[in-house]
Amino acid sequence: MLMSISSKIFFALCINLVLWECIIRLCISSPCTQKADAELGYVNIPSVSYLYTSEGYSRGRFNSLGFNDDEPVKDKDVQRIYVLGDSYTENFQVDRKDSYVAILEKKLNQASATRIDVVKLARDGLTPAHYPLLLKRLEGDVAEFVILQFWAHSGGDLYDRNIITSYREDGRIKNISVRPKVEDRGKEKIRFLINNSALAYFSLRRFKPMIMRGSALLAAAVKRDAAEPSNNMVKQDKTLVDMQKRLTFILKSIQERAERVLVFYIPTPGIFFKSNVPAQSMTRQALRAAALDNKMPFVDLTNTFRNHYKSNNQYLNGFINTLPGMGHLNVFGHRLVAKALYQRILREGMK
Amino acid sequence: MILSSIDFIIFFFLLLLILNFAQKFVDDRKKDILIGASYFFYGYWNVKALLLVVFVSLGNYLFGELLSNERYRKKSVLFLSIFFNLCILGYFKYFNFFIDSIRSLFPHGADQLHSLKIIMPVGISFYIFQAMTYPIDIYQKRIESASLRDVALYISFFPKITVGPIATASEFLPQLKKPLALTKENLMAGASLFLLGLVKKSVFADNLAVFVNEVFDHAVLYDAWSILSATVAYSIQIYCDFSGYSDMAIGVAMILGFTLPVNFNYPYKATSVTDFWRRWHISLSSWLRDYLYIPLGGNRRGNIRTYINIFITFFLCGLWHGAGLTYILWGSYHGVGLVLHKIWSAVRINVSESPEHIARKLMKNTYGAMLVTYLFITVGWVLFRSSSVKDAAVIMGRMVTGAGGAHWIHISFYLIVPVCFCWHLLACQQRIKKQLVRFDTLLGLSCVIALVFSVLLLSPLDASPFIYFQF
Repeated sequence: MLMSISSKIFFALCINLVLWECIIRLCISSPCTQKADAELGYVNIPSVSYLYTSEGYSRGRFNSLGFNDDEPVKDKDVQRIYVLGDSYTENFQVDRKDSYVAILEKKLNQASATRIDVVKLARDGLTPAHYPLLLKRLEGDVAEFVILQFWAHSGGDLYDRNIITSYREDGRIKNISVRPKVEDRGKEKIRFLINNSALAYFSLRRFKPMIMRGSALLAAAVKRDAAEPSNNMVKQDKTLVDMQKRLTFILKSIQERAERVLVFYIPTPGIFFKSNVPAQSMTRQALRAAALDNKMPFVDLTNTFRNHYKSNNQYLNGFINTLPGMGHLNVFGHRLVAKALYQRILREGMK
Repeated sequence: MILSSIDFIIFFFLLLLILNFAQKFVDDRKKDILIGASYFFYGYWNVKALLLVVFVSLGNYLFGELLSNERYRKKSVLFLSIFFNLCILGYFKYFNFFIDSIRSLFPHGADQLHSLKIIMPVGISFYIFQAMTYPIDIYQKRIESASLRDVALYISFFPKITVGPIATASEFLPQLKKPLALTKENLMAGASLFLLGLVKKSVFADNLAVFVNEVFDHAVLYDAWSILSATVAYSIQIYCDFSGYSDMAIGVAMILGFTLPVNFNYPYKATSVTDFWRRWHISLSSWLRDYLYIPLGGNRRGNIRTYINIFITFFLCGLWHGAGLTYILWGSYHGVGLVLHKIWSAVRINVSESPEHIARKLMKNTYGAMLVTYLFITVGWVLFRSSSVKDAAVIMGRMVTGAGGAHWIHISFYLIVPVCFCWHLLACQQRIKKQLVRFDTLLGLSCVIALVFSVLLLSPLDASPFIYFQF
């Protein structure tokens, strides 16, 4: 029986939807692996598989806590080190075994008689203001050892409109909190689709800027302004002094929940690769001063990265599907970070 | 407006609606619609530059009228028309280059000379060359003079005005004498070609551009393997970019019922430099042969004069591509290559098993010849792509000396280059295209939709401009 042209188009479309769903699932991206969270914005769905190829390549499964890490060891005799960070630590860009957290754990276990478990508590997009919230979610009140990861934009992230900073009369910081996440209704409406279809999720991410622009134009056209939550706090300019105050406050909050804290800093990508990137970032200066204020060891990787590049002509950011010297750490970057942290921990001692 | 943009898709869709509605109108009204659309298309970029197109159309139309009038000396009118067109091209494209060259040669004596702020109109090299063929073809009695409407449409026809193909007056104007009509067959054939061109440009060329641009712009940072890979990638990028655009232009013209000349014929299958120029930018090489090389004497005045004519033709070919030393050197490089190939073909070797005999055997071997030709062409692309002679020297130097540096080869190189080479070497591309890219079968429709998906999902969101737009 001959098919009409509209039937042929319909079936051709169906064939392509299935075909591209398979291609994307196998080679490009998994469906959405996130769910909404009031405090953190979103979290990864525990025990769900993922495929990540936007930058670098990795495939794996989140642990039962919803982090890109192996399951935490539940043994009581295990010494635990928590690593708090953002996308640099969450690390979708290289295999989990090649991340600095895994390499650090391996090195520490080789050097120690006691079993050491380095636990990753990191998620892409987190700011330092979120670090105390992550620690709060741990079972037990005080962590033995916490490593805090910062990078060149961490200080600037504390001035994001979702971070509420209040001040005392004398100018000291009273509190830094994260504004509760307003549910993204648009995304929640299609949650079922993007959580089950790799094609839908990939298309949404790809065309999101265009969709956002279109929605903004539409909203402006019907004069429906989103209610901007009021922030009665006095707006502070981003200065070195103010940034240092904020970082000091964050580090103090962490110190209340951790016996030992180590702070480390990853420099701007390309600082050593492209000559026009400034070496000194405000975050780096402010963080160094804040760590000193709180008497915390501070590992600054700027010169380590620069010297490595000069000696080996090897860039530490960038992948074959991105530009070199940009973006997140590659395997060489992770090895260098692990080595630097390991040497510092050995120097300071585990206890 | 470029052919791969959303603006163009909307514009073309509206034009087809108007033309469909105007099916019952007389041909002159349809031509007026096409002229209006072409002026809108070109003026979308710059309205002032559109005035130049109108001026060129008027000028060449008048020369055509003078050539048809027995009262005037045809040769003088012809030279005047060539002078008119070349002056316009020379002013807008080469004036500043000429001034800068004099100043660099005579730094102290040329203080009074200043460059002008001249914006080079898009496509001027293409439409001037096309415009020139009108009076020349009349002079050579290939065509008769046409109406102002036909000449205006010929010069401004939007699918070909910005990046070609360069359709001569004798190729295009006779088509205007036939009734203009939209047919289903032309629509389907044109749409298939357009889609294939879009895939070549958006999926292949634009993805390779990410790699090529980074390495060529920062060559001192990368090692020899990265630079070599980027050079090979560029050879594929420029082919996919230019042939992709040509396919889109030919496809759009086909939908409207016009035939534009084929511009590419799998150029990396060429077994010699001469063969390459029969396959690459065919419309330009044909133009150069018919309107420059043959009038210079071609190969009719002895070997030495032939070699000189070939060199001059390709020197000017390089200059046509751009007002820059790298383009002139690139054109001269190809001129020398063509001359050497001509000499090589003429030489007879009597002693068997000599190195020359073995080399000749190798060259007769098709794949050997293709490889040698490809290497020759690709070395030339380094000159073509580099922003200066110094950069080209740095890139060539780093490749040849095996320089160290960061090693980075983008994934697009591994995915796209082998696919393109394999497709190039296949013998049955046309048959596969005809079977798979069609709108009347389920398999064909599935392939068409798959190609659309590939453009939507796999092309970089910040697309590179067409390489040949700058000429």
